[in-house]
Amino acid sequence: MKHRNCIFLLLAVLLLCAGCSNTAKKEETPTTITVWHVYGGQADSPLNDLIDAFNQTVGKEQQINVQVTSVSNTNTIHELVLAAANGEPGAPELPDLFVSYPKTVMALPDDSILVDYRDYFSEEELSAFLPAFVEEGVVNDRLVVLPVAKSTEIMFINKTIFDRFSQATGVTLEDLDTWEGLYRAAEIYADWTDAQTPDIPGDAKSMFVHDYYFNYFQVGAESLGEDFFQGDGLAFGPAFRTAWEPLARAAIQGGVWLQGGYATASLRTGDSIVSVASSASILYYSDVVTYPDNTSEEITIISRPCPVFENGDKLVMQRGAGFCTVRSTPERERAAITFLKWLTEPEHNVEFVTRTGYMPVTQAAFEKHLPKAIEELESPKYASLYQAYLDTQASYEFYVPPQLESYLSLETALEDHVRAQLSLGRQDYLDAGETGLEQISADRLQVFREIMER
Amino acid sequence: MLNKLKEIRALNAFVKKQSVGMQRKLMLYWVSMILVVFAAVILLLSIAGVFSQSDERLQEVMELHLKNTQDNLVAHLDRLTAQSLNLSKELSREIEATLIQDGISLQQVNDDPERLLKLQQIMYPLINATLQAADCNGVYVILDATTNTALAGADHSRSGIHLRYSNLSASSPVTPTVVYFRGIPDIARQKDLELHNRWNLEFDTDQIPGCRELMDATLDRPAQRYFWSRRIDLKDTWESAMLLCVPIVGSDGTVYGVCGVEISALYFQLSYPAADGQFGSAVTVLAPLQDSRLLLSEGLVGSVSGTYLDGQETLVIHQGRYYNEYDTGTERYIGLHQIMPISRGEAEDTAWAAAILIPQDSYAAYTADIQKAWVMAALVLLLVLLAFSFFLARSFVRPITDSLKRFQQDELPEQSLSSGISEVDELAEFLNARARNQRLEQGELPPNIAELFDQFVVRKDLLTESERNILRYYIDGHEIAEIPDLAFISMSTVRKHNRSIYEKLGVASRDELMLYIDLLRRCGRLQELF
Repeated sequence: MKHRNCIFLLLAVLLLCAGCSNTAKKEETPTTITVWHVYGGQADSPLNDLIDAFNQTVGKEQQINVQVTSVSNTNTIHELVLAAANGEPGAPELPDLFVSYPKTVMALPDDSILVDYRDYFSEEELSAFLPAFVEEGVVNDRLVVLPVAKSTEIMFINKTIFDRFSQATGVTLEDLDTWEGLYRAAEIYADWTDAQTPDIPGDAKSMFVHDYYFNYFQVGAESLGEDFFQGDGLAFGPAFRTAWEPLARAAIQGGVWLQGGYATASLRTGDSIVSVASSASILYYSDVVTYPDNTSEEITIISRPCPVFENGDKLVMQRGAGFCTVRSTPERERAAITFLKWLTEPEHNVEFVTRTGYMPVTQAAFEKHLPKAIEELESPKYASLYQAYLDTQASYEFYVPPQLESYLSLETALEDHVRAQLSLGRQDYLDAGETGLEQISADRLQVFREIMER
Repeated sequence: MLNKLKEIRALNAFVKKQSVGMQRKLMLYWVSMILVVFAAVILLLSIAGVFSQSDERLQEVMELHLKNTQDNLVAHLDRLTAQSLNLSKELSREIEATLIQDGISLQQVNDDPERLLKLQQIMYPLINATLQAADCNGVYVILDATTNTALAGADHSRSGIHLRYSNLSASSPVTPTVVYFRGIPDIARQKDLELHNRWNLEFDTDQIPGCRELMDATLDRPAQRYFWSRRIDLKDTWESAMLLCVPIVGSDGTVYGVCGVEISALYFQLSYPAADGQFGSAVTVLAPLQDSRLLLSEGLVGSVSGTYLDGQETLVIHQGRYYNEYDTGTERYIGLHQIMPISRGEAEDTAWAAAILIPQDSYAAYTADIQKAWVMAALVLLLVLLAFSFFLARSFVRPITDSLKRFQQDELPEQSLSSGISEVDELAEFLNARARNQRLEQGELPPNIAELFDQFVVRKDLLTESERNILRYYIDGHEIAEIPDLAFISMSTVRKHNRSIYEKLGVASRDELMLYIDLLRRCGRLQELF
């Protein structure tokens, strides 16, 4: 009996040793997760600040270190994610978290590389989100895109210069409420600026720039009661022509900025003064315009709801990508989810969105935290944006684009060719001694349509 | 103190007087011996340096790692410097050719946006080519001229081009997007480049310490003086970067401007991943060294995964035997650093160091692991030895205790029973013998003799009355010849009775009978025959 006890004791001690010898080092090392996001681009990134705050608090407690390895845009992330998922040579390694639209997930060869958030969020936790936002992130019955911030399209105006223009020509801000009015104003602006340098002909300046003509035509057609898409292509119904004509008239006369790049760039150089872009682009609008002679001017940027067609519904694009979590190890997945849960807590969510020009994603954030946060906004630029946001919410319906596999390729093609055809139209118009406006517009639409239907 | 000593001595004396079990005593000896041997082994191991082995190994690993890191860094920065010097020469040639062609000096380019645009258009391909070829995330050129000298900040506003990559990622150098950070926007539009969100037409030379002085210098050739700026925040962006400043030297020695490459904090972080080894995550650092402090906020830090570094710390250095300690105030790191010259001819003499840092916590956890293993092994060894000594002492003492038990239960066999230990057997025999003698001395019969007597006495009950009479005559000392007269019987009858008596009492002769009677008399048991 005594022998047995001793053996027992020995065994117990040995087991204890084995138990203690597992690596304590692992516990000391934080789980590092990498993130590719789009909130901030090359300017200051409020999300990076929030990530720092997370790392210093919850991250430290739970030994999680979130590292931002890329801040770019959804299109770049789309390309990189697809390259990585397809294992293309030179492709980067996928991060733990990346920001994308469902279109990126749909283009993946195998979407099981992404975490289904229903595995980590309880029904109750998910019900805290606005249901439409969660619904948007479901691809093939799996919730793979978690909403963290939503945006819409907003009209930004360089009020300083617009006021000057308004005084000289009588065009008012209200004229910009409809697309027709906006393009008429653009034509007037082109004449007005051209007339300022009588010795240089054809140097009209553009008033307007749109970030996404694809969205303009899409929401325009739908608001006029027509389908924009037809199968894998575009419908080109009468509503498309309704949207094309005023745009083309203004563009051919030089009132619309047709160079590539984001709308913010031409506002920064004073090459245009009104833009329609994602509300999130607020971060990139500078309060200063710099002219070619290196003089600069302080300006005021204000926001108004997106224009609509005179005979159309008040419809506006709802945008805003979400976070995808890449399958890895349970610890890393848990770390990523811990971060996402922290980021979507109403308090942090509202802090995050109001610094980046987005809307929060949970009911509680909308109802309890957002109104207070808007009241406390110090920057008039942001206050104006959120007023425009509230106006939009009060009187507009939100349009969510369909999940189409050809969506991205259609978008890219349309963006390139609309700009190219309108630029060529502008050139034709100048070459023809500023005559034949209607004909040029119709011809260019015909060419554009042929290219898109090819 | 003295009192205490006395008390202890008293206690010791008391313990000595106390009778201690043999097994316990034996075990005590064993344990003392084991402890002495154990202590000696530990001493020998520590003298042999077994316990400080991990420090030495860490030093070896870190020295090797530092050497590799430094070699990489030197090679990287050398290559960038060479490429920048080459860019400087080509830019100088192009700028000079344009100025000569137009018959003007660089001063005359001031306030002339057209000429500046022309110069930038000439410079752009060279800058772009350098960006494509060099291991960096940005290339820039600053001309010592400005678009508008009438402006307030004109003395520190300088025209130039700065191209940067915007979408850096750890493993994708293939498809970076070039953005236009500084420069005349017409070029960006011609080349279909995106303007940086915080684009500006010109550089603010106040943002780059040392840049102005370099442009004001007169030099023979660019390699005479160049430097890496400390890490500066790129205005209005979340990024910060170090710029290599190489002068663009004209044939007459005037400096046309400054050009070079940019390494941003992010680019460095992606280029120098943390090496996750057994001691923890090793982070690469390139930072200025000042008053035994490593200024991370002014240098570059590689990937910090596995640590809590954020690249803004000032590390106080404590030199150590095997490695140095770097203290941020809240966190401690261990590592090594080595001075490396990266600039030349600079007025302000900044010492730059390449360093590798490992969080002290993770190294402590590693050594704690080893220590724990040692302690556990020692504990197990001790326990095993103690158990062994217990068994040994018990099996040694068992024959003695068993024998003792038998003594106590009076089970001593007449014949000695072997216990397996000769001393114990001897002791048992000795005790047996002594007990026997003692009984004899007390007049006790040996038991077998007593048994003979007892049988004899019992048998006498078989005798008839007349045989008993004759026996009595013998007991009284009469001879056979006297019996016929005394008993009034014939001699033949006497003989007949004699035979019967011998038979019944189990004796063979009268002599034997008389011996019994004599012995019984001596033992005082004679009356039992009556």
